[in-house]
Amino acid sequence: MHNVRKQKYSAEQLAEKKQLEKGKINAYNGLSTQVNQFRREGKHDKEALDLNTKLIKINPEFYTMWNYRREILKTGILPNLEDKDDFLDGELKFVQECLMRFPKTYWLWNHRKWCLETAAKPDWKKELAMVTYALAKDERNFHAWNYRRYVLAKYEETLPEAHRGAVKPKEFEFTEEKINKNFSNFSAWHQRSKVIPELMEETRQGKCTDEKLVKRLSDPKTFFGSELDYVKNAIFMDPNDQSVWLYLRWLLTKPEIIYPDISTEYHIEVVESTIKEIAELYEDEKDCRHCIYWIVFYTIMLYELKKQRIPEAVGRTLTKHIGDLKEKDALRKGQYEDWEKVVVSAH
Amino acid sequence: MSSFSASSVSKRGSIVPPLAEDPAFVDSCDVLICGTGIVESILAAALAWQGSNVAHLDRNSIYGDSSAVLNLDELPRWVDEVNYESAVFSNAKLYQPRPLDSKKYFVDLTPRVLFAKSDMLQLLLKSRVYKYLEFRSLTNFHTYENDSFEKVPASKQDIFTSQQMSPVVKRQLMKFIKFTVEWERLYNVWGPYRDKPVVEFMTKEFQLEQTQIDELVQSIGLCSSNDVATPVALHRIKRYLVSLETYGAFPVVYSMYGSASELSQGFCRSAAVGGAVYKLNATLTGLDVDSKTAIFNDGSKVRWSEKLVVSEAQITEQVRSKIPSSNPEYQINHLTVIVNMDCKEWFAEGEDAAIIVFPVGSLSSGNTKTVQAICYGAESGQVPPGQCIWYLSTVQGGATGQRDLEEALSKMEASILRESTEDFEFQVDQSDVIFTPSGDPVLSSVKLGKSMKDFVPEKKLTYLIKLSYNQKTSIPPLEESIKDVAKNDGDESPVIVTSGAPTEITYDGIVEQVKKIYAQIVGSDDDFFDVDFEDDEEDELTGMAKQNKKQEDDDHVPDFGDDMEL
Amino acid sequence: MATPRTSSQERFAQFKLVLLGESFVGKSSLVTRFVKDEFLEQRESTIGAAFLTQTVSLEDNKTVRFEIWDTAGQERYKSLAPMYYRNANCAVVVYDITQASSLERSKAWVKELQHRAADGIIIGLAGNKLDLEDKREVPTEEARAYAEEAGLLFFETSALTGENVLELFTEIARKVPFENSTARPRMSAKGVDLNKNGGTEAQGCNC
Repeated sequence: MHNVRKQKYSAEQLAEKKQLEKGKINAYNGLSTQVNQFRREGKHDKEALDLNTKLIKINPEFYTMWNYRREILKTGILPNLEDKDDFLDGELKFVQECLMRFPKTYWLWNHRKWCLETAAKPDWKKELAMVTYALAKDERNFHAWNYRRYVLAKYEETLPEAHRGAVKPKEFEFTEEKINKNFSNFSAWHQRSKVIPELMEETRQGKCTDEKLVKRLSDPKTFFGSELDYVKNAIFMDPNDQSVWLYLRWLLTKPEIIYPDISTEYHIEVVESTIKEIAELYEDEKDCRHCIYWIVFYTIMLYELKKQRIPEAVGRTLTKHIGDLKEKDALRKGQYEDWEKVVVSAH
Repeated sequence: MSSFSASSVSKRGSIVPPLAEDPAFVDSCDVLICGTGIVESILAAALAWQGSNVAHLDRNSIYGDSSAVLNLDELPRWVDEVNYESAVFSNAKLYQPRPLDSKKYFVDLTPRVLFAKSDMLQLLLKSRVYKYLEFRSLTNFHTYENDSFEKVPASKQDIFTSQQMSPVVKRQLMKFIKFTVEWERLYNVWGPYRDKPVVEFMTKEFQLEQTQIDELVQSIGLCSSNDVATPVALHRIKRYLVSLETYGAFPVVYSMYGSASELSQGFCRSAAVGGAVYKLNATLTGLDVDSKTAIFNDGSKVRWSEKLVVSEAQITEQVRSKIPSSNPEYQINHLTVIVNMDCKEWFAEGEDAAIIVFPVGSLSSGNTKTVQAICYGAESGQVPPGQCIWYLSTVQGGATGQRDLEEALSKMEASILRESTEDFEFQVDQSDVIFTPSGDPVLSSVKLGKSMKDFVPEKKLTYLIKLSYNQKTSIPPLEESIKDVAKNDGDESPVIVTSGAPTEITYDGIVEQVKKIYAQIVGSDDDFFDVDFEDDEEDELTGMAKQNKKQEDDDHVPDFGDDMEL
Repeated sequence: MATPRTSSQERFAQFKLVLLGESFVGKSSLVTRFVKDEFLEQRESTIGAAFLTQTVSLEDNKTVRFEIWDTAGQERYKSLAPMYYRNANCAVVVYDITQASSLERSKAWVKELQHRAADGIIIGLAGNKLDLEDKREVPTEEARAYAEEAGLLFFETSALTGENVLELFTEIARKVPFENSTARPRMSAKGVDLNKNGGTEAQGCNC
């Protein structure tokens, strides 16, 4: 019943409450002792399963319980069943309930994987919908993203040859949807960097069925440019977010993935203009460590591409920047010292 | 004496005939409250749950007092009555060309929206009053500029995907937004602009352009101009920003069937459950402050022991001399129309509501204050399907304010006619088309606005209802300050007159106002709604599970490099 | 209380039910008996501010959950708000069989309901205090005749003994149009559940 005035706890009631909490902890400890005892005894029956379920419900992050659960299922439960898939379906539901409360627990995702791989006819489409739902709840859950890549591959295998070419374009759009929603999303950019080469390959093989995308990919220079603009847009909005810088690095260090025929001249041109843009950004964001870091990174890269020594004046600026970085970011001292060697040789 | 209830009782009233032995109303209470406006209703509930004996009455036959919601039978009577005598409303005009099914319409005299993160929303949750109400989301805040309605980009996603801002503008905007979310503790940044107009601060410190400033201050912040003091504007812009993503990608929600009047009904019900007694159609006709006795038109005599709380609109001529006078000096002009179009063009997908702001100087009337419009379609429960109700208001008083409202209305009319005409064609050249990252061509909407200037619509908009009126309140706009909410702050006085509601289309300031009155009665607001309602207990053993998991957790971090594949 | 079933063959619906009738005829007792199977001793009482809920299982795997609104005393001086009647799918109008005037008064409440609530509302008329047969003032037949004429479901009940209480609510559950009862609008997809996230999750603007 709602809206019934609850009395303030008296000291006595508080003590009682505390006692109750203590009791709960004792109960849990008792439970886990019992389950561990069962495991040592090699007990793999329904009773063991029920007790294991009880414990997992309370604490789904207790990974050894999941291992024990699989032992029980494999040895004591599944071999005696006629319809294994029906049972495993229930098992998936159970995991899902746990995931609602603990979406970032690796063991839960892992158990789903086991259930599906054990099933005779796993429903990968449904599983894909499930992981999409999990990402709708939290678009940055990397456990879900990792799991998604796995499910996606399995799902594609189940499709008839003719329909497989539609999977990657959809995934490409999916990453864009998530990035648009919040571009501070390492996993989504990462997924994008994984999907693009696959898409390029499928397009080359004539497998990709999304015409609009095929058209875009068939003009690699423009596509490369639009990806650069896309991520630079995000960098300008929030230069302090690391994930966008990493995607830019992926684009600029491996441009041939998107633009196989890229000329060194053009590559140099793009890197040069990027350095200029970051320098402008830095003028406005003097506190942004990322700006200095990437100015140094791309400048070194630029002269490698040009196959030239770093000019002395440039080298001096870089040395100053590297000094700043060493001060602000002691963790990567080693890397900065390596850079210093490269730059100092220019002096 | 005339009140809007006095004549409506006989015509409308209740069908239930009086009992032969109609139970006599209570003859004594701790606190006697007259008026079921939002302030009085929350107060009644807070006091009832605190343990006070509350008697709550209203001269009208409906709840809500000056924030009532009226159907089309009640509306013409209300217009007559307020034109005759009202401390709050004046100059009411109603135009209704043809009869309508009156029960299908609900006209809100003071429409308000509820920010997803606000003290009122917290109070609704805490008091459980939200359970009586139905809420819908409102995503779209439009700003009128360049002769068209621009959707205000305020979320990171909107800004990121916007095709109209340069990366530099985007960055400035993001910087400002990040700053605003935690502005209170960054005094070193805004301190120098403490008493200066926010437009100066935003221009000098963030290099923002006029368009962005208008959108941030007047649309998102719902300020009446860009000249409000910097901290006030920052507070109001933050209110929007922190509300986004609380329940979804929308900043505000609204209650169906009406705003403050719905909340009033909910809090009154809560008060009733807490033990308060209720009576409508009870007009205050006599008052003896010395013996703390109030007399009502039905003959009831109620003695109060602590305070009499009465709203401005409940004070009749018979008792006015006995109650400290107030001087409502702040004005709001209202213009409400119901149109025969659903106006879906303005609403976000799946929604039926939008806010449109006309910034200072955007109208040809040369408006010096903003005009704000809330538009609701049928999903709001206020109009039948295929129609829309537009609530326009401005804190600009007098004839000037009325002109601004009329001008804004004509812009809205022109806009909805253009946008709802499907076969509209115009010249586009290559430079007007922009491509999104996914390769879809998008038309620059600035161009759209310009091209549409000379557009002559084929359809015609029909006004089913057009209502204008002026409202007075003694509470200054929140931009100015929140001061003396209850008139007689001397704790000695046995009578408290509540001021009208703030000149806002939100609920901001109301909870603070109630708390002050509550403290005046009870001594402090420490136990304001300090009620632990029984609720579903937390999932068993969850806390314990959390304790136990930690150890195993640390040993087994799933392997995930923080490096993009190279 | 049973929980909603989701299996494809089973169907679940929720309805708002409002209570009406004079004070002290036993409205709250009747509901307390139905919901908690207890008898409320004190005469003047109110059910929680929100509402009580109770589920009725019908034949054909149908489950109906009632969200029951009590008047909270606001009926006494005719001060029930429009909110009370809004979206009510069904109502129970209660009178006291030991008080002749209370049937007359319940007729007025029925009229009020037909005037203020939505068309098609299912109304049950309950003659309560059946346990006080020796003090009866309202003949069963008189009330039944009125109920038939006005199109109401009719039961004589006793909140004290529980007689006919479940029957009354079950019959209403059977009669209320199951199909078009998408629960209340605020449960619909377009509504916002304010209790979700509690407005407390500090996600801010996601920057």
